[in-house]
Amino acid sequence: VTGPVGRRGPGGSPRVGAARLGLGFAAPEPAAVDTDRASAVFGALADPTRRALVETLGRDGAATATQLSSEFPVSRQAIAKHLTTLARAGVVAGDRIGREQRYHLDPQAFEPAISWMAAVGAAWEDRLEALKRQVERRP
Amino acid sequence: MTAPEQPVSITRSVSLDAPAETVWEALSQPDELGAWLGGDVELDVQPGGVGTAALPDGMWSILVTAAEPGARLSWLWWRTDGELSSVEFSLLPAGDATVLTVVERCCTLPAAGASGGTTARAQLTLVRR
Repeated sequence: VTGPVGRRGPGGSPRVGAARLGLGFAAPEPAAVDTDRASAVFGALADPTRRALVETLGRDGAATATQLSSEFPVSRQAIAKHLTTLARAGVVAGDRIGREQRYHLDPQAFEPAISWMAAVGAAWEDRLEALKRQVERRP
Repeated sequence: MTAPEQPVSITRSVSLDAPAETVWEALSQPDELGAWLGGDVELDVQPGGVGTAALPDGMWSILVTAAEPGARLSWLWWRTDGELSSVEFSLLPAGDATVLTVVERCCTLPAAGASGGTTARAQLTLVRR
């Protein structure tokens, strides 16, 4: 049994996957969608409070956790934690203003997520077209 | 703030001029599944079944999370170095035809407490170990 070719994710860590099932396939090059980045963005946006923060920053521009907490029914600490999560995913970026970070949206962050949706949507369109040909060909 | 947490998803539907039984065979027989997915599929299509799909875009590992013959099939899949997403097929008979809808959700594990989520997570741990 030969192992996969040893591709590593952008983070440099090897992933477990098909090889661990013991079926011994080598992995072909995956499509050019950065699923790690897409996943980080989707994960960050999975929370309704974080989506609302993104919406607010998109509407009002840059703001600090203190400023944002006046608009949300949660504590400044909770807002700061959500902003840290969004920053880690690259959805927002912060500039230090005095003792606080002032956050703004980074639109580039959404590119991997949008690419994922486009690539996955196109893949299913092709597959379903092939399925249609296959099942409608039968007697 | 009570909206459920939702990973991002894409949905596609197709109307197939074939009965649900035929469509189900194309979903549940590995050779038929591989034919329209465009690769080689080895998969035990029953809840908890695992397998692989060697497709043009990569090598996928698959864990079947639900299989209701003629009605619904869902699995979790991930590429060797990629993130995990879920795929759910639902079949809706429409006269002599069948409307097949596929939803793929990226890129999070099912929420604990969601139907089957905890079990799937436990099984996935076993598969990925």
